[in-house]
Amino acid sequence: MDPETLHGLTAAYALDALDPEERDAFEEHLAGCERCRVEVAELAGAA
Amino acid sequence: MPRRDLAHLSDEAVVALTARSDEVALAELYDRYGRVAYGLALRVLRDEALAEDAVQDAFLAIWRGASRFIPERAKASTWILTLVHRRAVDLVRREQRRRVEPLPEGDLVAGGGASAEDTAWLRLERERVQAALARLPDQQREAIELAYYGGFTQSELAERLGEPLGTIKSRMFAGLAKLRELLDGPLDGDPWTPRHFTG
Repeated sequence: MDPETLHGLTAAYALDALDPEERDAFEEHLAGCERCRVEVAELAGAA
Repeated sequence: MPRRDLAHLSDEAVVALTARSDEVALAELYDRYGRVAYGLALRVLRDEALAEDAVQDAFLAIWRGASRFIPERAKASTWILTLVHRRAVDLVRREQRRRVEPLPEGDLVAGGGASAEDTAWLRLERERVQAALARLPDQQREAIELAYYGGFTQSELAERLGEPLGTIKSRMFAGLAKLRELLDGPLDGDPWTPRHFTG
């Protein structure tokens, strides 16, 4: 999955709306992407 | 002997104690969040036994994972309910019990062993979230409810609603950002807007 696609998965991740493969790929991405970590934290506060 | 009293500690402090294998701390977290967790799991799973399984699994994950909780990243309550929700969604997908309609109002606060005070608090919290959801544009609300409470993945939603995946992603993002604004009040600084959508 390319990085731009991964950046766009924050909301789906916060809603647990990713299938297992997408979730794994996104979590791997999340470990190295501060921008997405902040975004997920903000969105998770609302979910 | 009465249990050690941790009522004066913040959630984050209680999680920190849980990370040191303090069973009293885990019990305290359960007292604080067990009922909310069950309400959330029941709403997704619509089955009391499965909801109890999800809560039990989640508290096991809290026990094992407390040392990995990072307070700078999320409130402890958010972290706990995220773990509960993920287990509930995993279970609902496994059981294929997903439904399109959200539970009717009132189902979650009926019955159970919580005190009147807990129930009143839960009802207020639930009403607050429902009121915020009701203020979202219909399509955003639909995407969020079906994903969060229905357990649908974004790909399933795109297929079922006959919309491109990118559209579903945009609705979920915009809806969640708006919900956050409604629940927390305005954010400091620049308005928070979606930055990037692909696919």
